[in-house]
Amino acid sequence: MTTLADTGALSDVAPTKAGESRTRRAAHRMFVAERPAWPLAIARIVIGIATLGWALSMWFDATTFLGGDALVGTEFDSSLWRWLPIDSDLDARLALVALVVAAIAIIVGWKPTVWFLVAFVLLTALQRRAPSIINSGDLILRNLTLLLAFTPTGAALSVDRVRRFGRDALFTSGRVAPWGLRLVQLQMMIVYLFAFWSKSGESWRDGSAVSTVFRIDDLQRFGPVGLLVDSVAIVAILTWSTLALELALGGLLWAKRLRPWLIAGGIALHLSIDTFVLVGFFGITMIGGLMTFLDAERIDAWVTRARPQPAERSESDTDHPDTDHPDPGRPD
Amino acid sequence: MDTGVWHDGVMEGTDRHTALLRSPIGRVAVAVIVAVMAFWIVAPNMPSSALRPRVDTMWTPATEIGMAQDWGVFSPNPRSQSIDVRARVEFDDGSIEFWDPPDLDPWVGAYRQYRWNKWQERVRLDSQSRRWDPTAEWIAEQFERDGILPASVTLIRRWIDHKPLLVGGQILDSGWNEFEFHTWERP
Repeated sequence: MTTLADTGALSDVAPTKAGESRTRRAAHRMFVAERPAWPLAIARIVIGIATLGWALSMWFDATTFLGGDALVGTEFDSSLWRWLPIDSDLDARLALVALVVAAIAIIVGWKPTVWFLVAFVLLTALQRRAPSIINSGDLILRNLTLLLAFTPTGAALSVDRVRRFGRDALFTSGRVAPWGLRLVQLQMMIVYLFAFWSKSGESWRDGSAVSTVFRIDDLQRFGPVGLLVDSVAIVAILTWSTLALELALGGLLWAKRLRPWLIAGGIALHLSIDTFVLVGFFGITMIGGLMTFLDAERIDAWVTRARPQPAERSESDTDHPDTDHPDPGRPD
Repeated sequence: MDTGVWHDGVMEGTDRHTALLRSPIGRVAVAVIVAVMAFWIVAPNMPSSALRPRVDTMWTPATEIGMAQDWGVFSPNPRSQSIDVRARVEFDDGSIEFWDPPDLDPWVGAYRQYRWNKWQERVRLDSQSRRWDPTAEWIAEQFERDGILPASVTLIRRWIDHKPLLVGGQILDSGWNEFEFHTWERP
């Protein structure tokens, strides 16, 4: 494989000279040093699925919440910039159709940067039409669609790649600079850090908060769960471990050794919240954001090992003789 | 410039995001984007203080375009009430019907239910009283009979008070309470 750095194209920004400051080297590693785009591609697909789910679920309530004669009238629109006027049932449904198209394009990786921007504009317009029905999950979905537009999410697992290099390109990834990725990661850590920071109340300190959360009737997804409500020990463990995990996710996700454990912990946290509490798209969106912390080089090694061997590839190529570039080849 | 990953004779060009770093102007653009966006992500989370009102305008553009920073979930404590809003609809002949928000299935419907619950959470507040007449009127329209609206719609807030879990696992929750907070009458 030949990369930008190998060819010297980035030599003026690659701090390889002796005596160069540690700060500059760290900055280079942080924002410039290329790596495979697998984590970005996985995040793109998960966020695309969340966006698709958001649009489809909103479709059923579009008349009720977004239409001209809605339960929430247009006089209650957000006073902030709405990008697009959504004042009628037709406006809302057109915006939702466009959002479905954007979400599908994002999932398959067809010009995802453009479609992420479209999705951000549409989500903002739709959510600002009826701000009384949105939650934190809707906000983080909106933020991540914007921030992922600053990243080359189509450099792996994308239609764009298959069209250009053939089907085998699904087993390879472009190497990309991570400067945009850092913004997504920063947003994720800020969410966790301030979710922790804001939980300053007595019930979090005394270890009883989770019991209260699981007793709130209008937040229960499948009804009350006894042990999570009335077992003092289990409730305290869950309450304090939530705080500990949020603090760790907010401060330690950039620590490479801890990262796999923290990602697993974060996924478990969101899956358990999603199982018991009505939080809409918060869980899947946060899991999508966590995917940006996956180890790109390790995934690349796994995919390289899992890639069909040349004999298998040539058979599959025979099945699809119209491929322009039948063997994009694995990285050197 | 021939750079990027090679695929057996087909050169994979550098993506546009990475290519920005090739030119001095591009690197300046990236530095500005990263600095501004990072500020817009972090700064709005600053706790309330005497300083904050003076610097709020620095992230107004981010807020206007649609970025939002509000991550106080279940904070500072989880809410200590279960809440519900329903409406009593009275017709000219004295008959009464009740309207409740939909109770959707917990599998797929859960991804719509949260919006209804958020709406209930907000519409019941005294600070949202300007929503009450339009809400009652909308509910009245759902019960229109032969083109005639019901005589009145009364909005009712219902709630359960949840006390913190006691040592020993004892739970002291109230039953459902209710309070009629607004009545709309057909003009």
